[in-house]
Amino acid sequence: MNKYLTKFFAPLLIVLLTASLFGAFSAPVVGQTTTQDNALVPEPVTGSSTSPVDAEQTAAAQEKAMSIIKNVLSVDLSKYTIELQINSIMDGIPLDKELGNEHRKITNLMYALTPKDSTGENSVIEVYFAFENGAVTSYFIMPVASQVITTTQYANQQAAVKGFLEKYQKTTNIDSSNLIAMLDKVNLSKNSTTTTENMKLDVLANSFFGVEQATLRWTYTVNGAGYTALEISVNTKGVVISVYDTRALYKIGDTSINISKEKAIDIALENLKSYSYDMPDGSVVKDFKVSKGNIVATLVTGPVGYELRPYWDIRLILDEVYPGNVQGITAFIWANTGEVISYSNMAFGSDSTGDTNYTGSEPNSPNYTLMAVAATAIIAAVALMTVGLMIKRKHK
Amino acid sequence: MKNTKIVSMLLICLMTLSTTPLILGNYASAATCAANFLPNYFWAGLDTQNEVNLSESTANYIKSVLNSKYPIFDYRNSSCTDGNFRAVLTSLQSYDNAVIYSKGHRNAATLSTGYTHYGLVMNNGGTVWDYEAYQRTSSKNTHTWIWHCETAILPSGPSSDSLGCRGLPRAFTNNLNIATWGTSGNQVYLGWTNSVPTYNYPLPAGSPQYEWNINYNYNYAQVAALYYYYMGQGYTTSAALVAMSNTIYGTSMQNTALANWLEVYGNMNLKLP
Repeated sequence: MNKYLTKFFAPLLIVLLTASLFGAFSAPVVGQTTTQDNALVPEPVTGSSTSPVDAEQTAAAQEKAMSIIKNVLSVDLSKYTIELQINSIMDGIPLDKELGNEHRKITNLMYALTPKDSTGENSVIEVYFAFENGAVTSYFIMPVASQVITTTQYANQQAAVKGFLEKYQKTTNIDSSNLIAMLDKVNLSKNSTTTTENMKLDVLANSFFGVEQATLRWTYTVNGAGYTALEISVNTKGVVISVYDTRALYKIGDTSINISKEKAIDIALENLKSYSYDMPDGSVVKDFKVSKGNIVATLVTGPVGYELRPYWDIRLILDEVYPGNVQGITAFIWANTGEVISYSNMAFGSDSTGDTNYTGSEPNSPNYTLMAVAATAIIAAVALMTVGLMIKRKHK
Repeated sequence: MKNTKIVSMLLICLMTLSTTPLILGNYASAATCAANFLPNYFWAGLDTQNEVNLSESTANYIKSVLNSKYPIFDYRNSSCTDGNFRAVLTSLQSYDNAVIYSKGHRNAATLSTGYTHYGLVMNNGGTVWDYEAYQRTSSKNTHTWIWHCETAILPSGPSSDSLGCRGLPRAFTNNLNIATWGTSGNQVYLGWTNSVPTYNYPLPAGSPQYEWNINYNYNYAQVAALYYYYMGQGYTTSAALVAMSNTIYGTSMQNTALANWLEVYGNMNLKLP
């Protein structure tokens, strides 16, 4: 009996062992592009296609960022360990849409401020910066509910904003005295719009990711169009948690508004007659009917290169839904010349009626469960056989 | 006799060692895997040709960002079927973390339970329903953006019925109690509500199509692309949304159409794994 068992199981064990060494029981390994049929394997990691940014490339931006952290945010540097964790340069939109060769370059930095006192309530604060054309265009603090340890405290939100503007203008060398002067006339707890000569101040009391705040936006306006702006958000504790500033980024081009709103709408409707778009099945959609009472035209400005120009943003809401779930057409018209810039579709993703019953099946994949059970059974059988042999010999 | 014992035990040990990988699974050594889905379902003219083109180029970009960090399942057009979508969701569970992006259209129907369920429409016309996705996700699904119509809206009524989970945020986080704009936890989910920009549309709906121009320089395709650019740089979701809004809208997110339209469930202060 023993000889029979040994003669049968020993070769079986040898065969199974040999087969496993040749991968007969292997599961797919990521990175393999060919496996047994229908096994799902993802494409392997490619790694980054861009080289890391050299610290020298962003040295000027880093210097300005640290100056803001120290002199504007007034962070008490003795309380934090500061580390530059993100340092990148992004290719923005083309400087000239027609040529498209050169792109705007935006430097993005993030500093992590780790409290040296880790036993306190403060956690890591991240300050994100964006720089372009030598100017800081934005920075903001995350998480928004952060409590920053500063060297300066203010009595109230209004005082904090004034203090911020004074320090910010000193650090950026951008005169903000007219902005400061407008503060006396506003209540930061209420929405308001105040206009003084070419400066408009909008105050909006809202919340920022669940944190109550006031947003103040000073916009340089000419002929009803808004150009460069400074926007800040300040929380109820007086911390300025975000800044957006285009005053040093853009120049102001031709501000003349030669095309009235009504004229711009007429131009948009007239040129709509020749607008069409394609569907994937080759059909062409055209001849749109506009709901005349639902046309919205807004005078805005946009950069061409680094020069702001006024244009009409016209939303032509259609009287029905067109193929592609298109429900409106957008027309942009230059406000000084009346030249059409572009047309495009206002379209939504949609609900569609598909199958309500699941009858599909997933692709076949190796039945690992069955193979695992079989392997376990084999091992158990071998173990039992060996134990049996040992017991039998012991009793002889 | 002694030799027999030794040889037997040795064979057992070697046998165990050779089959252990089968039992335990010789799976990916990478901690995170990503998936990029683009069903591009053409039924009844759901997308214009321009939208299809933008969808492909945006998918290429998002894939490049995610694939630079993680292995990725990239399923588009005819390969993006309901069967494959479900299978990929299952496969993602072999990893420590799953990152998912999907762009397309939604299905909403009252099913056999009498309750409404939501699902994602695939290229073959099939639907991956919320309860089916829930069966194939877990807390490993750390970052998900479902750019389909109204995917941030939870159906009224119970969070689940006899079929299972109801609502896509719950489904893709495997969390029936996931809340919006949180600051804790290891999962984040982005989707669209129906709080669309205020115009008198003939039939207002949910997500914006990529080709919708926000202003002279940007459309919604760039909303998606810029978000993933910043996430790829190591931003948190909340920081990426602010940075993207500053770049595109020239103002912080809470002052844009995105404030009520784009909803974040889970922890908005998470970075990509």
